[in-house]
Parts: sequence; structure tokens; C-alpha cells
Amino acid sequence: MNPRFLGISFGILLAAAPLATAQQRKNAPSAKMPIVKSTPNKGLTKAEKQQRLVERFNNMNPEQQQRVLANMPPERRRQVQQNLEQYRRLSKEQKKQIANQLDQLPVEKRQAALGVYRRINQLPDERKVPVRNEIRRLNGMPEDKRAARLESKDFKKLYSPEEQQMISEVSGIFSAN
Amino acid sequence: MPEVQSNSTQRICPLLSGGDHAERLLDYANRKLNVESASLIEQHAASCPACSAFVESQRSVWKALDEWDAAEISSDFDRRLWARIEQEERAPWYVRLWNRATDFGDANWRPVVPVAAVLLLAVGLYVKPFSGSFIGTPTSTADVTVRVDAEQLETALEEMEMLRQFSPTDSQSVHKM
Repeated sequence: MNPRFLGISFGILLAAAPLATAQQRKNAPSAKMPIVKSTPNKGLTKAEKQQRLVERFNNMNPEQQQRVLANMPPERRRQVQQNLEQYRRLSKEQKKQIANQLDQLPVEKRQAALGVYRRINQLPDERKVPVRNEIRRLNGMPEDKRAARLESKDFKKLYSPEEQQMISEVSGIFSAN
Repeated sequence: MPEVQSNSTQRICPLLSGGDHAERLLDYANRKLNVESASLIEQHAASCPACSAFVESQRSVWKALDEWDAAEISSDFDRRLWARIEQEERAPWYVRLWNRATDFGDANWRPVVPVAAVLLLAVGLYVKPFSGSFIGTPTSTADVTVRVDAEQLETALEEMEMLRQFSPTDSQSVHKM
């Protein structure tokens, strides 16, 4: 075989290798993103898309689920499993109601509330429940009563300044009034 | 300055004068001069330390060459050479390719071969992990492959749980689980 031909062949292989790799990467999802069959998401709201994503995950076998969560720290993985358990207990009607409420929230309020939700999760277990209950109560109050409650001595006595801040940030966001 | 008397009665030191005279000294050392000319050189060298040393060093070289015996070629050298050539020609194509790639004279591209081999191996190792990351593939054109991203899933579950925790108790049935 002609040595020049050999040299050219190696050259072509070397030049083509990065292209092949790039193409393969373009077509393939990353290892932490398994793909499953689904119908298109066209026409769905953001919350409905989110629920569809959760449904897909819920329908995966345990091995596939583990692969999705493989790169997540154990604590966050445990939290995902807990939240998934809560989601599984919801009826179809409840899921629809949640999706509607989430879609009605402006993006910035949604993000602010999510930030508070995560900060509350960092609190000691014995403080999480009273803080969440207070937020729930406040969101059920008319605006004037809510404002009075936030200014009350009782409120300031029951919660630390950090807790008061978190509660006031999300009070009213989920108000039914 | 020591001098030598040439046929033309000139008295010149061959080493110091250079040119044709120096060549005559070399011819003497190479035993190419006739007896008369050699005698003249010898007479000059007897009184000239430089020429004497030069002649002596040349004699040493000739002596060493006279004493050197080249190793004899074994009687079956030709037979073994042709057997080896025949064996190479009968080898599989990949062996011949490898032999040519790794043992081909002074070709400039030879250093590229090991580098190319290492690069190809590296590319192979880099590409392979991507090829095994699919979970399921579309079976019809109506199916769409969707990625399940861990962080999107986490956020979706968190937002739903956040709504469940922060919404007023008496405003919806979401909390009656």
C-alpha cells in the first residue's frame, strides 16, 4: 500500500473524528437526561408542561428514575422523592387546580415564593410547620387583617426576624381574596 | 622552516604550503606515489615534526584498515531473506498495513502514526459514553423524544408543593389529602 495513501487516510480520520463526536453529542441527550416517548407539549401552559414532566418521571421504572436523579446530592434527591409522593396523592382535579393557580401567578412572584419555600426548607424541622401554617393563615385573610397580623406583637413574638421576613415576602401572594 | 625539495627543485613544506603539495603528502600516505617522490617526502618528514606526525597518523589508519576483518555472511543468508520476504507477502492485510505504517524507511509522516493511533483511541473513548445514554427511542413519527431534566423536575415538584403549603386552608380542596 502506498505510504502516502496511509498518511492521507489517517489525516481524514483525524479531521472527521471531532465532527462525528460533535454530531453525536448534538443528537444524544446527556447521561443525566434520559429520554422517553411522549406526545408534543404544544398548546400547554407552563404549569401543565411541568405536570407532564412529573408524570413522565412518575411513569419511569426505578432504574430510569435513579438515572435522572443520579447527579443530585442525596438531600435534594430525598426531597424530590418526598414531593413526588405528595404529588402522587393528588387527584386529577387537584392537579388541575394547582396548575391553574400556578399559571395565574406572575413569574417574579412565582420565583420569589419558590425562594422562600427553599429557605423555609432550610429551617429546623420544629420551625418549618409553624411558619408554613402562618403563611397559609395569612393567605386566607383579607388584606387589612393580614397587614394587622404582620404588625402585631404576637406575630413578632412568635417568629424570629428571619422567619418574619420570609412570611411577609409570601403573604398575600396566594391569597384567595 | 623545514622544507622538501620537489622534482622542480623547489623546497616547500607540503603541510604549510597546502594546495598540490598537500595532496602529494596525502598520496604518499595512501601509497600512491612512485619511489622517487616517496623518497623526497620521507627525507622531508625526517626533519619536519609536523609532516612526520601526519604521516604517522595516516599509517596508523592504514594499519587499522588492513587488520579489520568484515564478518562473513552466513551461507543461508539469501535463503532466509527470501523466506522472510515471502512470509511478509503472505501475511494478512492488516499485518502488512501495520508493518508498512510502523517500519517504512524514512517517510516524513511516520511520527504521525503513533500520535494518530492515540488520538483515535481517545476519540473512541470520548464518543462511546454518549452512545449508551438513550432510554428508549421513538417508534413512530408521532412520538417525540423528550428529555427529563433533573433540575426541571425538581423545580416542578417544588412549585406544586409550595402552592400546596402556602395556599389558604379554607380556599381550596388541595390540602385535604
